[in-house]
Amino acid sequence: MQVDEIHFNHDPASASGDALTIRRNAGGSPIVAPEWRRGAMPQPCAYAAAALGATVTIRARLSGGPRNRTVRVRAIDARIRPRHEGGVLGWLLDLLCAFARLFFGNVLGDVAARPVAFDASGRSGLETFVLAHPRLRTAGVGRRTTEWAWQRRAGCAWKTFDLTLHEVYLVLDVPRGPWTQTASGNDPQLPWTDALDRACVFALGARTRDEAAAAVTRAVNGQILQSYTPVTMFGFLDYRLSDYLAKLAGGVPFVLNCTDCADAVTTLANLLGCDLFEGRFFNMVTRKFLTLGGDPTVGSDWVSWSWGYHEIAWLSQIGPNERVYDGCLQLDVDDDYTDAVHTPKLAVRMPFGSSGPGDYRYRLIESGTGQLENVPRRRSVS
Amino acid sequence: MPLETRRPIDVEALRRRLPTRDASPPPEGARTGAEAEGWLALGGREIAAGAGRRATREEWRSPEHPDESLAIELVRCDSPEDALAALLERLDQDELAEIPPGPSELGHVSFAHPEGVPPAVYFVRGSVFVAVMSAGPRAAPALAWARRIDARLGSVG
Repeated sequence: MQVDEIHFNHDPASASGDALTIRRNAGGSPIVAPEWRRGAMPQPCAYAAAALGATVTIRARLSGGPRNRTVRVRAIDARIRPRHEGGVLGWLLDLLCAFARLFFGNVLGDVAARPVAFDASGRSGLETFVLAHPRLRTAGVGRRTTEWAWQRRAGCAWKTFDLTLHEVYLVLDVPRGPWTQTASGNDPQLPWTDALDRACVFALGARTRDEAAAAVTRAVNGQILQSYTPVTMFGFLDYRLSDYLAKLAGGVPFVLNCTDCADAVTTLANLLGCDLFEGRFFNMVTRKFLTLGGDPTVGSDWVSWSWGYHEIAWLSQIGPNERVYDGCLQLDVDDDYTDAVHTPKLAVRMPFGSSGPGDYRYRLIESGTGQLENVPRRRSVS
Repeated sequence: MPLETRRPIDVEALRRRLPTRDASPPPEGARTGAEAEGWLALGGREIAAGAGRRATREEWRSPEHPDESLAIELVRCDSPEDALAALLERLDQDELAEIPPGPSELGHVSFAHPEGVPPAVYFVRGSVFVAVMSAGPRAAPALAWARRIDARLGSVG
């Protein structure tokens, strides 16, 4: 007996009981079920935790079963092993395995047992299976691997007849714009696994949108090979996310500006289910801030600019009372701006505000209007 | 179509410097010339540039300094006026508060970053808008490359 195919996104119009509709990147076409098919390269799947209902299902087709008979079939986590080491070493190994499972292990749980009927040629139909004990709603952001041992009931025992391996992305909610969940067509704004690879590393383990947005902002700001330029390098009409991801992977120094950072924060955080927009404000001379790639202990890395505009990520909407994220710089929150003492702070869910010491605006703008452009953007990705 | 900018730029004066018509726009695939100077191609692609425009972006790395690279964008427009509009839009996507005019002999209209900031040059030649930007942590000679590209565009036109 064997598994022939497994469908994770078996209802592309919904994400409440199955996987999201995704694609690899801007090129090619969407990943369609069956994501796992015998003899073919396995395709990943992705789930949005908050969108899931009480029951999550997959569909599977089997062959090589008993002709014209019904047997009970299930799948269990193939990687859970009983302890077989004693003493401190065994305890340590168990702890390491538990830690690895927490961040990288099975979130799909098991496949609940159900009877499967086989026809005269030993083939099943496309059967719906319920996931048992999934951790999809609680495990937090990440890319995980599930290996299932498929078993059939034989007398009083379960006998393993097949193993299948699955790559699973877990995000907090259905991705927000620019990402879409169009059920048909070849929409390049479907979530990309190339972007999920990066976003899931940036926000690994995040369980709330605030945690995810903060982690993405920190990661965008903290890339070591980047430095600042005033020029928008990754697009203004759209966001050339492919180019940004290639830069991150390329290991070669590159430059970017505030728009590029706001794009990265918004686009990757929203891919994980956050609700950010990009928005600009105009005309300012800044206080000294820690530039991209800067060392807070090096005085020359604290810089001031005269800017025609600055663009940041906003939580939900743009306004003086709204919260902001800025991956492009670290503010100086030392209260004496006349001395050489600087205390770096990344703006994460910080109130934009006006003149209060906890306000982003006060900490960034030394002079100038800082007039808000109330044009929320979520640039389409290319 | 009125051209708008939030910078204090005399757009009418810039318009008067444009040719009345662009007789010979450069052919598709016209190269920047960086390959002839031994620079290493890091990639190139078409990019979004607005309705009626066709734009390409190339990146080149210095053969001598791996952290010195250039991004070059060529935007082919329907008219010199639209190329000027593309330039003004690009200025609005640059954070610098003041971007001074470039050398008078560069293109029909040009702007260039001042000394001391990562180099970038923007210019219009006929119906083409060109942006040449230092794309690595080490300052690349954007103005020299802009001049070479302008010469090539001029010779084609």
